[in-house]
Amino acid sequence: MKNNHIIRGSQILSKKIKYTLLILFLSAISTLSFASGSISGEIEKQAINLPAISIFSAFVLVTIFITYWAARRTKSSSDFYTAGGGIPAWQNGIAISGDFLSAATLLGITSSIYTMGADGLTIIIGTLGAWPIILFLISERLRNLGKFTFIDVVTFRLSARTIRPVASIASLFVLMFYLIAQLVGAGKLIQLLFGLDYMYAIISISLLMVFYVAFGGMLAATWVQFIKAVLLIIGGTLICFLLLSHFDFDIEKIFSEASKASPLKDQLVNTGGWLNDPISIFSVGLTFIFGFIGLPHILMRLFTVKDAASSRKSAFYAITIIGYFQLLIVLIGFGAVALIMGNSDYHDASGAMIGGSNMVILHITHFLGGDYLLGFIAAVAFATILAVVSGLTISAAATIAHDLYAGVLKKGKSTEKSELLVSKLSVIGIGVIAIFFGFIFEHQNVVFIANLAMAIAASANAPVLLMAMYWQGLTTRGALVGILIGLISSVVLIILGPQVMVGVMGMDSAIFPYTYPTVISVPLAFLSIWYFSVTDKSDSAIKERAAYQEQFILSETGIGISDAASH
Amino acid sequence: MTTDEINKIIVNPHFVLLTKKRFKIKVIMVTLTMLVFLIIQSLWAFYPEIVNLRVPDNSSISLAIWLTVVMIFTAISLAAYYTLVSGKQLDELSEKLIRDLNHEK
Repeated sequence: MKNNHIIRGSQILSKKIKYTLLILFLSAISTLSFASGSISGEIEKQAINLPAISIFSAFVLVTIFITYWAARRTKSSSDFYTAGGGIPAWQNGIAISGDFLSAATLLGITSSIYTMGADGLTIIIGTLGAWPIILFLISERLRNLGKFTFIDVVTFRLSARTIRPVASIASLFVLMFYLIAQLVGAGKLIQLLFGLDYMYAIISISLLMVFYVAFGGMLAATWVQFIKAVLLIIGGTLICFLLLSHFDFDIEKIFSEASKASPLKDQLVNTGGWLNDPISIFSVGLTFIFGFIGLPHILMRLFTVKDAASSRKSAFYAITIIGYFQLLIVLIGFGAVALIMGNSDYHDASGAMIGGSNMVILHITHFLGGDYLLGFIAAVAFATILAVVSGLTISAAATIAHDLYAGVLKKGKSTEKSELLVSKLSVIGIGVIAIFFGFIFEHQNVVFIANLAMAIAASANAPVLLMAMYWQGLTTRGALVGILIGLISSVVLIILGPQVMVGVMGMDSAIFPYTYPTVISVPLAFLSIWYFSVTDKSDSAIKERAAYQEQFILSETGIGISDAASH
Repeated sequence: MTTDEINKIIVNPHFVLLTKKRFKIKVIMVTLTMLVFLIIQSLWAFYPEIVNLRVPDNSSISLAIWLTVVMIFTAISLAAYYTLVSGKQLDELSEKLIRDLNHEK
């Protein structure tokens, strides 16, 4: 009787949330229209923006239809978090690349190559060094052991009540920083293209994000990411084709023209300008290798397929697409230096790039393809941000509802409906928090904010996930201390580092000299996990070590994992 | 999973072969990836003069750019091999094991 009452109550609340979300979505659309109108005096901007607005509107309309379709199929928490595990491997692979190729890649890496030359390539090397490791070590075991989040895997044989709260906080740190990075990129992009206020831009994109995820869950997010990835690859290929054709398909010419145009001259293709000491270089490498392993929203995508083999194939498709796109980014980055560096159409009187340093890709697109290609790429870039923030939001909602609410607060005894309700409420909450922090971090480089997330993921999430999957000796005590030390050391060292002390606080030098803290925080996390596990002589530790055998069998064979629901 | 089931699976020859083979493939693949990655990282860190070399001398493209391309192709090739060649073999072994276990039931 009491249960029926609760279920009825949650159904009414769920309906109320749906109406609220619909109103929120409509206000997002009207915010865009209103703000577009507010710049009607700037005729030139309007002319540039029309193709972008049309293409983006088409994207939004298609994704609204998909969200409506997905909402009708999203009934359980499994549907909401992982699309019932029924996404085909090829589609999931493309969606993973759609989730991964974020604003930080599209806007940030091109900007890094444009300003730093060959040093910007370190990020690409790190990315492509990390992805095969995810495939070889993580993809299959994760799918066999987990349900919705990587924390399920960590707590498979450890005390969930002890681990989940801390691991969830570390996860939420990563997801929120990453989300903020995307939103800052979105804000700048919309500011440039639609002439909108940064405030309107952040609010609009957050409302769209909440709409997609709260209604359509993972199924809608997957389709949004899939469509965006396809558009991104088409757009990137087109820009590269135009770039190569501009230089008579002579790659050598692109680099020689870039060296001539850049104030760095021949040093543009040389390394050592940005990362000029070995520790910084290894620190960046560690950040990317372990950072990607610890990104909760990417790991979560590996649960959306039916089995370990599909998870493995997904990762392979993703690596191929990501690798191909990074090749395009290398050419586009140096091509941008050759074509738009010093070009007064894309720089203001003081020599600063119009729209900020993250807008390199859009300016080169305009140079090569005019207003229509700019419109297309701008819409794709906007779609990129929407797709990535949707993935991040669903992952954060899963952490709050599945790990914190169901796992910790309700001690695993929550009803499906109440967990789903908390997920949807979390989505709204995340939207509000993202807007707030989007303002605070407005003037930060998107790569820097994304890298903060990477550093925390590398230090707090990756070591414990790897040890949980591969080391029999891991105990709850070791895992708990490892996560805490990884999280605290990475955050403290970032605060004491040059990005915050010099860049934000304006001090002459930083206490910790390196931008990336992982050279200290990752080994520290591994060491503390090992030390606090081997010195743990408790009864629970003995049981946890003994339970590894069952975990090993399951992780190798997948025997016992539930069959995927069909969609 | 009961202790009895665990003990049965652990000694099953297909399971032993599967885990041995998977371990070997993973070690080879991770080693190859890390080798390429660490060589590039070490060159970048300790021998920038090599990374900044032009091949041929009058080229406008430094070795740093070619090394980035090498990393990309290494990642894709190893991923392709692991997924399309090794993965297939491992899946077959896994299926045999499951058939065995179902038969025993």
